[in-house]
Amino acid sequence: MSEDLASALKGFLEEMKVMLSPKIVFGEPMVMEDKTIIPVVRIGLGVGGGGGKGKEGCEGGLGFGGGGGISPVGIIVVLKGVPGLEGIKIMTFPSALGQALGELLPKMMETFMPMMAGKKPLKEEEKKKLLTV
Amino acid sequence: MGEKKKYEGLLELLEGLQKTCTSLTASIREFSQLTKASRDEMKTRSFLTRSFAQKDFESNTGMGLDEWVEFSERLLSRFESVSAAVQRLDEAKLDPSRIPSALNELRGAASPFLERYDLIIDALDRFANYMLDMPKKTESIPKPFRGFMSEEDRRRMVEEAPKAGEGIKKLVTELKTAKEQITDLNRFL
Repeated sequence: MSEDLASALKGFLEEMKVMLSPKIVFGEPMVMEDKTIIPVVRIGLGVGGGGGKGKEGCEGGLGFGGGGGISPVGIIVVLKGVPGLEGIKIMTFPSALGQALGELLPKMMETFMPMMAGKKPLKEEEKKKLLTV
Repeated sequence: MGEKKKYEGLLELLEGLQKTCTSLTASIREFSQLTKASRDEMKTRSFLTRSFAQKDFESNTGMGLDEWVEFSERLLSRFESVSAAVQRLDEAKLDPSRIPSALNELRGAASPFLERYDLIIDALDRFANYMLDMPKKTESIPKPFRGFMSEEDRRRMVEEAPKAGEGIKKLVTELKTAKEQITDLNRFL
């Protein structure tokens, strides 16, 4: 394996490691008075890669690509003071609801937190100037 | 006008700029590390808060984290070039005939910074204010939504963000000083 390919693969796998961490798949537990709710999400991934040698005297090339999506599939409810399996409830969302929730949640948070709405991002022209300093 | 008289005051200015460049490159390096750490930290946030946090960050600071990382690296590289030109100007002071070309080199190295100066200061000020306002913002999150944030995220927002904001304010002050000193040196051209 060439060094370039090994380094590209290493970077890709590092990203995957972060993406598939338990914290992301299970979300942050929401602790309430009598229960703790843990959201569970489904991560869909598609990856591909390829490489080839160039003609004599020309360099070859290689590339990786990938895409993914994330959608809530359900919640785990852990009841306080209820021992054993009785204290754990698993509730799953129908797939359409999960997808809709995944799209709606960030919008809901923005709507209900108007004080967090800020200024606008810089114009593309301004960004370009900053990134060529 | 004699060479000696022509360059009167140059040495003092040069000494000041050398000190500014040393402290400035260290501050930009710290800022660059901050942007990289923030980018890595964002990736580990839960799916419920990540997209919102990214959007909030970009609309308030003007750019996304990847762009801030790129900008900080560019700015660092720019001031490494300026520092190298200042070093050559310092060497040229022993032979005044070399001073004009060394000054020109410094002007060339600093011009992308001077041309974008206002934009850079405004953008960094936005970033600094965003970090300084973070504790207030954390407090203003309605109770039902606080459960979406981890204790660690909340601690970072309340304790670490303002310190980072102070660091960026210091960087802005150093950039203002560097601009004044470089502009002052141009009068010797």
